[in-house]
Amino acid sequence: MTSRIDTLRKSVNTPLVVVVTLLLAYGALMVHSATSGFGSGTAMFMRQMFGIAIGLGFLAVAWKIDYRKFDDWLGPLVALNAFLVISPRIPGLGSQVSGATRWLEIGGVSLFQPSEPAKLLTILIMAIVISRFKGRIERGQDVAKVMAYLALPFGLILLQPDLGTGLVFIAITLGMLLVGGMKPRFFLIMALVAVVGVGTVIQLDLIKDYQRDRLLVFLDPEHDTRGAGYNLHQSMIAIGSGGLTGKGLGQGTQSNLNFLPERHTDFIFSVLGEELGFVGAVVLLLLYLGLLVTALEIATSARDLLQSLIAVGLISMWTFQILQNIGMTVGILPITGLPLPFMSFGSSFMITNLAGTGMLLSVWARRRAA
Amino acid sequence: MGKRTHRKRGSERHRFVLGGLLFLLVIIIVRVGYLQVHMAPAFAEKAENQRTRELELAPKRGSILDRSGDPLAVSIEARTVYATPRLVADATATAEALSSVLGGEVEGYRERLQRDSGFVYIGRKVDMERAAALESLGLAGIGMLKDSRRSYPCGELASQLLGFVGIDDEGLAGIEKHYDHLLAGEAGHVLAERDPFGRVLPGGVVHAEEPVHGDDIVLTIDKDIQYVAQLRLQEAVDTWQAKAASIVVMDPRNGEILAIASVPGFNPNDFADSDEGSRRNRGITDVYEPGSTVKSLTAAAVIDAGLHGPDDVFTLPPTISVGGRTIKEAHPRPTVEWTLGEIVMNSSNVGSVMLGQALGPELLYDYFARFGLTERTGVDFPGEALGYLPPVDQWSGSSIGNIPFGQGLSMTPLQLARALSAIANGGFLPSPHFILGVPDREDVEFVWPTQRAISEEAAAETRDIMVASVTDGTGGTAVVPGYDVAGKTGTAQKARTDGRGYAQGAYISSFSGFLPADDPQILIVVTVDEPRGAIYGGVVAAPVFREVAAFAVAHLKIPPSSRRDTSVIETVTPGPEDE
Repeated sequence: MTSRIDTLRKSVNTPLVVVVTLLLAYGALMVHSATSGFGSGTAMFMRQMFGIAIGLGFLAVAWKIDYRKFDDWLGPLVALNAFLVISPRIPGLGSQVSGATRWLEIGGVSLFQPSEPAKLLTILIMAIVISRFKGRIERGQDVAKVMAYLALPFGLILLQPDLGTGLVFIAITLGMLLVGGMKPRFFLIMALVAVVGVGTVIQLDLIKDYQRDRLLVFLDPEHDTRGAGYNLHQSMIAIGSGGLTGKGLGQGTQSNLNFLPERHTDFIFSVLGEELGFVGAVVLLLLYLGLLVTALEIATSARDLLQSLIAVGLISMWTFQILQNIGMTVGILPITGLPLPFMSFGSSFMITNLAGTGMLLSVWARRRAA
Repeated sequence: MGKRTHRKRGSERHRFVLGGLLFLLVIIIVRVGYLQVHMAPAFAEKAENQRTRELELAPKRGSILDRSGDPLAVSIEARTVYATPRLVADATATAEALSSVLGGEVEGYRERLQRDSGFVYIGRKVDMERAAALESLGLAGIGMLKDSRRSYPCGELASQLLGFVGIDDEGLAGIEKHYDHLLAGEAGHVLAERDPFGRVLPGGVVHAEEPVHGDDIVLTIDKDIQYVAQLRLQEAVDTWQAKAASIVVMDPRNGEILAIASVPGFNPNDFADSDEGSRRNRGITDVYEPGSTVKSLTAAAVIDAGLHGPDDVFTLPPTISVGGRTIKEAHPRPTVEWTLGEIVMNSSNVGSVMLGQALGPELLYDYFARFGLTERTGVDFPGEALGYLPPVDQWSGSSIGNIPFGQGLSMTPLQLARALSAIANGGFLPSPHFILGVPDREDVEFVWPTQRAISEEAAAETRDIMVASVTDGTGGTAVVPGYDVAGKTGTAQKARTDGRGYAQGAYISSFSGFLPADDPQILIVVTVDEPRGAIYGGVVAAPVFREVAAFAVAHLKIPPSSRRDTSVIETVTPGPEDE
């Protein structure tokens, strides 16, 4: 009896469970507050709870899986990933939402956003690919090979189009390359390529109007505050007016009076900032730091490079999304439609984050003996 | 060995990642702290401004009532229609719907509906019927606010007196302007929370201050007398194809103005379509050279000064020469011996000059000043004109030869009415006014000063002369059966607009009088500007006086009282007139 509890205690990473539980509770609180002003607020909150429940199921499954055995399945995994990413564009499967097809729909029922599980699949694929270099990625052709595995899902996701998720793929890969043993000079080369590439795209006028607007707004927050700059303007007013301790849960006037668009999804941090103030924001940031440090600890103690890289991939994914999301709400990064992990409304996203947590627990359960 | 270096290097890299995470966290916290601590007051203010909106609650403008409480001007409920362009789904269809209900150009509405604005006016002061029709269409993005519109239920009745209001219900002219401070009330304010579309949230009122409604005011105007006065005046203008005309009906005992009208008139319900001339309240805003009417004032002065009694006899040559100018009568006559009364009764220019000479310039000026000819009456109406009586030191040698019979000086009909009131009421000058009271305000009181002009006896004796002037003299057409009427005709050549003498063939015909002569309660001044076909006051203006006076005494139930039996209407031909 005692030994079973010991075994369980040994196999479960308690700090991770605690931090994720706290994040889930915090997120539920904020989604409840953000949706309470909607006519269907209660139904939306219940949907989010349902998403968490499903996500916990996925967490359990992901926990049980030993990811080493996927080493032999690289080809099928790449094919599955490509299918997921392109599936919304397949006639009869996709559904269009505001100019982009991001949802998988069968028989008129929206199922989920395939780009969400594709993030986890990309992490797994990259972990397999990068781990094969055994910590030494020193030749240009090695980097090129890794990049080729990135290029497929990245290229396809741009067709949706979903630049935000594409950037998540890049962030995941870069983080894993960093820990996976790539020579630092390649980062410099990549940065150079990125600058030239982005410059060319802008020069050739390949970006869409809304993307240009978002860039302009980022460079000048006062630009067009009633149009393109509206979201950012409102977000900053909400957060700024929250002050040190906020206006109180459910008391956020900017949030609840509909000034703040997408408040329950992409701009949930603005609601938190307005209602719970600087104190509430710092608490959330510390919880995220706890999550990432715990994940880093798990990455460090992983049994092998593949599993360590899976943890690093998840860290990269969350770090990028957290930074990007909060960064855009406070006006230090351009607006991209990326939600905030464990906080934002959305079942596909929640399930992905919980399944990722399950993957971390799996890596921890199979760690090296201390 | 290889595995060890991997681990070592791996853990170095993990520490690097950790350091990076902390660095990024600090950046975010600094930024959030900057917004929430340093910038918090500024953003809080922005939020407040965005969220709350100060709405003005328009007060109900007070009504203007006539002396018996009948409404002359009232405010009725209306709606302001506005649009929130970004909520408008189909600008073209919405514009067409607006045009069909409210009238107006489709294109104009569509342009407004497509503006990049959160609020545009669609129509103001829309009546309730059309507002309801619009409401029933349920157009997206179209909203309404409470409003009121000014309505003048009697149309053209007393329109120049009442004036009109602007789009924000502010008094722009006439009584509406003069008593705006009483009528307007005070706007209330609501500080309300609103959503991004500017809609006020139910229960979101932060602070409310109810409007103070305007006070109703009661005028001295008698609606029925006003109606008859306007009607008769219009008839005279039509009959004589005159340019314009005015009438003032006043109670000489207290200065209460019972009616005041001008032709041409306008309808205040659509004052925007009227021309400026039709909006003049000529009895107050226009001056004219009164002519013979002034002879009664000269006579009153001579009597009051004790220089002559009404029965003193004067020997009048056919003409008289003053300051190098020869004064003639309107109708040539031989040398006659007339009493002072007969001079006025026959409207003799020569006689009036002799009376003026008896007074001398200083005394004549002094008396005319006491009759109020050198000052405004102070009537409660905007834009009162001031007539002109030249100061004695500016008189030319011939001034004493024309001022006594009403040339070389000017006044408003109201100034004349006020001066004649002193003769009618026993010698004191009243303050003409339009307001009778403000029923709901005990703190508002009006004091109308009076001052003595001539003695009671002089007034009574002058009255008798004026009665004779009507019964036996030039004013015969002013006789009101059953009543003794005191009055005096006037026919004055209009001064040329360039100031050089008099315009050929352009006259102002007038009649001024009051009744009943032994207890005057009604005083009327009628002027008709440039009548054609006839010029004499007795022919053109006196009939208007008669009709209005006859109606007024009946309407006010003033008992007949005549020293002579005039129940049989005599056919009186107009007597000789002056120039």
